[in-house]
Amino acid sequence: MSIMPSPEMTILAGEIPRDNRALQPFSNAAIAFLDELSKNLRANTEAKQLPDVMSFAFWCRKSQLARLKVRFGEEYRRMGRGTVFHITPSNVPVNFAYSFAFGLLAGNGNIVRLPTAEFASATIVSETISRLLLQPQHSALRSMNALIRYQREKDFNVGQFGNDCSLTEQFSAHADARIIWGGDATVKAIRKFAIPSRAVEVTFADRYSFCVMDEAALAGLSEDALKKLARNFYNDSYLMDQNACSSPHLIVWLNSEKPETRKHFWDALEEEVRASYDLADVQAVDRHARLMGNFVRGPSDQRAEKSSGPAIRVNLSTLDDTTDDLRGTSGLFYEHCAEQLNDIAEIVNNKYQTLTYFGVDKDLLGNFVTSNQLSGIDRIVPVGEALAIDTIWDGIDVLKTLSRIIDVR
Amino acid sequence: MTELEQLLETPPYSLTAIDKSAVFNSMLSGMTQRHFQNCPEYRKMLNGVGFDPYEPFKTEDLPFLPVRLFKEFSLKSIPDSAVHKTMQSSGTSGQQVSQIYLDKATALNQSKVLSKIMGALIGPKRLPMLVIDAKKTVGDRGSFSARSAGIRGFSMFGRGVTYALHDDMKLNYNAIEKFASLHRDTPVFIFGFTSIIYQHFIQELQLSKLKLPLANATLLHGGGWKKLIDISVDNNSYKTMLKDVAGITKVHNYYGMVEQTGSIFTECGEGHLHSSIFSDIIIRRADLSVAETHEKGLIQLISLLPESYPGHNILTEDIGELLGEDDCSCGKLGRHFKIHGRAAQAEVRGCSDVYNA
Repeated sequence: MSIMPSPEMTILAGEIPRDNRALQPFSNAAIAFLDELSKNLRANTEAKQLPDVMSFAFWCRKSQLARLKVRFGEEYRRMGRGTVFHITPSNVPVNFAYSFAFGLLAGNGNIVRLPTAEFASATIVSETISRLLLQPQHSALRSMNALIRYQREKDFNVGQFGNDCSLTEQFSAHADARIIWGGDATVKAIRKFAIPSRAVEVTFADRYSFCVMDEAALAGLSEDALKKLARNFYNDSYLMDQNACSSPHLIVWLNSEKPETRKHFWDALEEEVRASYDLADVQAVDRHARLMGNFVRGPSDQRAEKSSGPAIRVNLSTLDDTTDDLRGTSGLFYEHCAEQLNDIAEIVNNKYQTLTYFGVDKDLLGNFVTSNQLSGIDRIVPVGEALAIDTIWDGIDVLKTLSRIIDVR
Repeated sequence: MTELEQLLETPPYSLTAIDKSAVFNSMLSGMTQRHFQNCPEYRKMLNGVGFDPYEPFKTEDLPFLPVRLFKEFSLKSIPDSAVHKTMQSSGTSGQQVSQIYLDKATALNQSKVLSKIMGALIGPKRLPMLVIDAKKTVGDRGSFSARSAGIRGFSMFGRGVTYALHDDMKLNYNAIEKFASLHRDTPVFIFGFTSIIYQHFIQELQLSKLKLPLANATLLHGGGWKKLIDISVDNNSYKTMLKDVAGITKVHNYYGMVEQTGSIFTECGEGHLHSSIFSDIIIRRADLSVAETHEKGLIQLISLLPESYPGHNILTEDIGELLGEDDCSCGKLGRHFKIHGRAAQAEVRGCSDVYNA
């Protein structure tokens, strides 16, 4: 690929691919590289302090990759599409590493644009990738992969720079596949830059997620199990300040009878939040402004059970197709008691991504989506796994999308 | 006589905590009920948090509105036909600005209260006034930016206003020297914005090595320390520099929000900001519980003036520290406090990129 050299761009690891050569999915080269990356990160004392880096390291170890390979299957002979251009989100430090690994596992060369803000987690991972790519055993991958960084302003001011082509435009023009993270606004901005006719695109739009819990199951929990549930719910919500697409904003309670039972859950969550979460002053103001603003913007049946503290919660007596406009942040939740699951079918639109559950049968939840012909809900996972990123995400098998079939008959 | 009229007859720093609390309980209750009846957005917020304005309440339990809401919504408790003027918060281009809707009565009360607070600082008489800004800043009568409104508002307390800066913001030495020699033997009043005074007055004079003879001046400045904190200029060094370049020893900072124009907080000789009988301050922790004295936290401001919009109880994004109540050695009663700047921007996580549109 001939990219005009630019002083605006920093190459953090590897080299800009010279051609669009691809490998087979789950190539030995890719697996060996990711496993070594995993080992290096797990042995790094600094990285051990960073939970997001450790989650990634754990995710890309050999045994986990072997499981992914089995799930991927061998129905068809496949190859990577060529070179994937990745636009990664500005506020999820290690998201770029997963995106890169997806491209690599599917058999592609990759150009991964990292966020411009420097996060400790991102720096450790990108430095480790850079170091490993320089080793002779990974030389084949080095010439196919680059982690880069450049300011994104130009993407949003097309035309203002005359003939001065933006880097995004150039990388897009040569890509065989493009992955855009970062939500609706980023997708819209990047889509102004054309990709070749045959190229595929995977976009991660703004999504909404919620949780269903069974109060009867909650009532039967031991103290320890309740603590664990609260911890899991905390991980789903607070680790990303409740701003992740898959973090819940709404809890729908089934079989609800007594507010005291629910209060046990909230008390346990508050305890977890007090022990683990550091709410900055600015976040406290943001959250309060969101709560008050939502009262004005949203339906008039909103009633705050608790309007400050570790977990703000607002009761909704009815839900409708605008319920997903009520977004929390940094620990602001909406809750609703439903007679039965099917009562809430009409609220689900194609913004809905993840449904986390506790005490409810997962097949029942799966049937809820298919039998009601819902346009949304792509993931149904137990409470605690909302943020567990996977090669199947947002309803898309990313590895299959990023590889092509060689149909031999 | 209304409760506010009675207060206007009362010296502005003369109520003890107990007396003030009685006045505030009664007045805030009435104001809250009126806004609840007349501002639908405010009513939704109080309903949402389950607050009944018709029940007695403690001042600290009255719901407060983050100032951002004045940017997101048109909050007013009067019909459009009663809007006398609209104030705007300062904001760089592209940012949303607050819209504050004033009726005639609220605008008048703001002036009256500001007069009382200023009277306590510079005396009852109008003094010759030097504005450290350019005339152009206030030139447009239709403009109600915070800066032009501030200059216009404080100009009520001066006479024969001289502007210290040319329209290109360069120091107008001739004008200042003429002002100084004309009023050599009388007290004068100087007003400007904290960062403008620093950049276009202090720094200019430091560079030119000229000393101005303004020892008889009382200087009032406000508008925020944001730009100065970045370059490590604090209140003490600011005062030292003003003494050095112009001989000014009576330097007073003020603190106030466009959402609560009029009931400003001014700095006493001890360097503490004071609430008057028209305003109060509460410091809150991130969980929004009330902080202790000497504990830093978010600043909540209460004013008895906003009648035409529900801005009587607001939550700012500034960090402050309560220093005490009724016990400042300057002798003024009421709460006194200091400001520690804006709350630090947090690196908030999330999948969707955030744009500063």
